[in-house]
Amino acid sequence: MPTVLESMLMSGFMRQAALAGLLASLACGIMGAYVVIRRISFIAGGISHAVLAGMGCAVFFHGSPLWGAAISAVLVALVIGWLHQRTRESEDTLIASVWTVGMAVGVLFIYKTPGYAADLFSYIFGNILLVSGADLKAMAAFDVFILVSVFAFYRRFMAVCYDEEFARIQGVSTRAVYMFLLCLVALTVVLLVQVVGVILAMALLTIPAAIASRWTTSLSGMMALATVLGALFTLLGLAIAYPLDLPAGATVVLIAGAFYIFFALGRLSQR
Amino acid sequence: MIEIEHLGFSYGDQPVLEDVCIRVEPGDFVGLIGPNGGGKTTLLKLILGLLQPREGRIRVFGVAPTPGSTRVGWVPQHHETPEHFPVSAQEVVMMGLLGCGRRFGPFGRGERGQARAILERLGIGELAGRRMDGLSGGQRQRVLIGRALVSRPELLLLDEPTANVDPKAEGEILDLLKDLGREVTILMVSHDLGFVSAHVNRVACVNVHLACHTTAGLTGEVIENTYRRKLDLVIHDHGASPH
Repeated sequence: MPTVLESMLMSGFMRQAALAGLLASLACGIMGAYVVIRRISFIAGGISHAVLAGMGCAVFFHGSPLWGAAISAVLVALVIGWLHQRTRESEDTLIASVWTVGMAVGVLFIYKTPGYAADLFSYIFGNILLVSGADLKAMAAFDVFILVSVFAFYRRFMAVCYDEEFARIQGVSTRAVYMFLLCLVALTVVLLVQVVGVILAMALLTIPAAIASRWTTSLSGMMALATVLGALFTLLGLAIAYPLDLPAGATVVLIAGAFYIFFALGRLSQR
Repeated sequence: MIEIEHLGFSYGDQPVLEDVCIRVEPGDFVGLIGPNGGGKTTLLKLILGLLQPREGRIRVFGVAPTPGSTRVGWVPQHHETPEHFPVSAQEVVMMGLLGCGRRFGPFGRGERGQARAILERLGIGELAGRRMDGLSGGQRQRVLIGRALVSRPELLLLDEPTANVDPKAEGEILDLLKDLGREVTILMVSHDLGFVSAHVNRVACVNVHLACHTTAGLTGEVIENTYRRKLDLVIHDHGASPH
């Protein structure tokens, strides 16, 4: 393995890919902790797929797909958050609707935009091997933004995730805090979808945090462990994909899934 | 401390509370009893400012209640720690400090110390670093009492704090509340008539209407009347259903 790693890191694009994976792992480790404890992975899934509408719309009108995705993600997050507070019962149906309608709108726009259809594949699986220097800078900047936001709102996010009613009694504007949290999750998803594709984004957001939740006694510990696990899965996935010439996004997801099943089975056998 | 005059509240067309009047003075230990659905929890939520009265008025410490008062502590009936949520008992207690001190950033050393002191006082200092979902029902309920007390409230509201714990833990928690009652004013929903009549100095029977008694006035007849009104309502409903 060391020789594979060495030759990997010798090649420029693999180094870029590894760096992108590490930056993605940090964003996912932190926001994934909230996604797992607040049980909003379905919302994150809905947002990540509904952004196709914004991306499609943006390319149709010759805009930037990244901005299209970012704007649509925040809109979807606000709509879902608003619906969550109004109609609690049918939340999952609403998310499924937003999820599928968003994708359908995106597909229509992409169909009507000549020459863009090929990029649909990169939306799904990403192109971590083709990450540009500008992408890396954007990811690093976003990681800093997440770190600052989560540091500032640490106690509020935790209280709203733990016991929303109790937080409200203490005068926390729980709706606004929850909306802000959803928007941060949405932006994390958008940035990751651009770089690593929707499947890897969802996997990195949920699997490391789910494993980490069992092994820590604090939220910050969960974030740190999830980040380390995410980085481990990404590097292992790249190390396997590189010599065998496999799509890196898929191998990373499979590594993460294998770890998850291993830990889940380990827990089952303990009972 | 609490003044409620002619309070009325309803969910839609269904009246939950009607013409409720009660005064709670500093040092009181008031037990709220009544049948399920009789409006006990709704009354507490009105006092907390989570709900707004439809009629009448509520004053807590002389003002209309709004969320965010550090003078009121709240212990919910039952709070299940969400699965997959790694949080220690100490951190849960610190979440009772959101209304005071710094608003942003992680919790600091001073707040950890306050939480630790409360846990020690409740006799569960050794649990501070343990994960919430690994504690027993009684231990968890004590931690939630600690979360309500850490902001040093003058008024403590509890909604059936022993509804989901085993009898031994229930006895311990009730003893604890008896001690606490010497320092803070307590308004507690309870289903335990034995405890209520032994340790509480006033009893409020809530079933849409509210009747307040001193503990000595709590006779079998009073209790029966409180619970029976609900029964009448049910019979009435049955009578109406053939239409």
